[in-house]
Amino acid sequence: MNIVIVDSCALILLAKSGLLKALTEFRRVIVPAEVYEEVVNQDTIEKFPDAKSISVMASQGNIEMVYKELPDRKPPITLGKGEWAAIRLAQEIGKGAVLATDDGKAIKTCRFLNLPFIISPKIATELYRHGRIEWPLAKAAIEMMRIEGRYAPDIIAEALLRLKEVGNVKTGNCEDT
Amino acid sequence: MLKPATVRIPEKFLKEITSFVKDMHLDKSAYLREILQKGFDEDRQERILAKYQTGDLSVEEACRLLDLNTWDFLLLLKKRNMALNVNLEDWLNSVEL
Repeated sequence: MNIVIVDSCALILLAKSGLLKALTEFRRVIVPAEVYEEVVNQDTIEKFPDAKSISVMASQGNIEMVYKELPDRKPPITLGKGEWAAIRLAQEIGKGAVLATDDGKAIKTCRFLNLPFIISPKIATELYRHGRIEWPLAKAAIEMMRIEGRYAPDIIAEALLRLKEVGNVKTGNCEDT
Repeated sequence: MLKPATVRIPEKFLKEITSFVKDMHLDKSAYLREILQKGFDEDRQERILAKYQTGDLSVEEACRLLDLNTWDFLLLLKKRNMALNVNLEDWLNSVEL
């Protein structure tokens, strides 16, 4: 997957967990205008430092903002306009694109449309697997997703387990995890 | 503009309210309006979050109904000790990068 299209919840969690920069250095990251405007605006920049960091990344061109009018099509289930714009963009780009989302209903829509998706904890383990981040950052990011990101403990446990498995492969330690 | 509304409540509860507003030197009508609004806001938030948790609402849909941005929505989940509406199956079905 070369292109990662990000919706609002994933954009915030990736920024908060410190993974967004590494992701932009690894893959092409695209944010639909509807998502960007929801996450980065005067109000959010004043209240949340990570909103400012997203705007800096966008101004430097690390995050691509897409203002694209797509043919009018209704979602199979109701969604917010940013969520639907992200899904529509992933559909439009097709092969090589994946939707980064942390919303159950957006994921349900991806399943219905047969679109690939990835949740933020998996992005952390994938960045670590590809050597794009070190163990401490990967672990801290997953911990952040538990506390601030409100990820359920079972998903966090799986993510930490996966991180350990990848770490064992990297260090050649193949004992059971 | 205020409009009248009639509601039947248990006698015991009414006595409790009457006694409380008297003790606290409150205006009974104003107090009832205030707690009705507070109760409604709280209940509305709870019901919207419950619909979010079951996956009937997306983050954006819940945000719109609650008049919050996504950042504040995540803070609200934290305050209420609630989790995202993403499950283990979603983790397992996430693709690799």
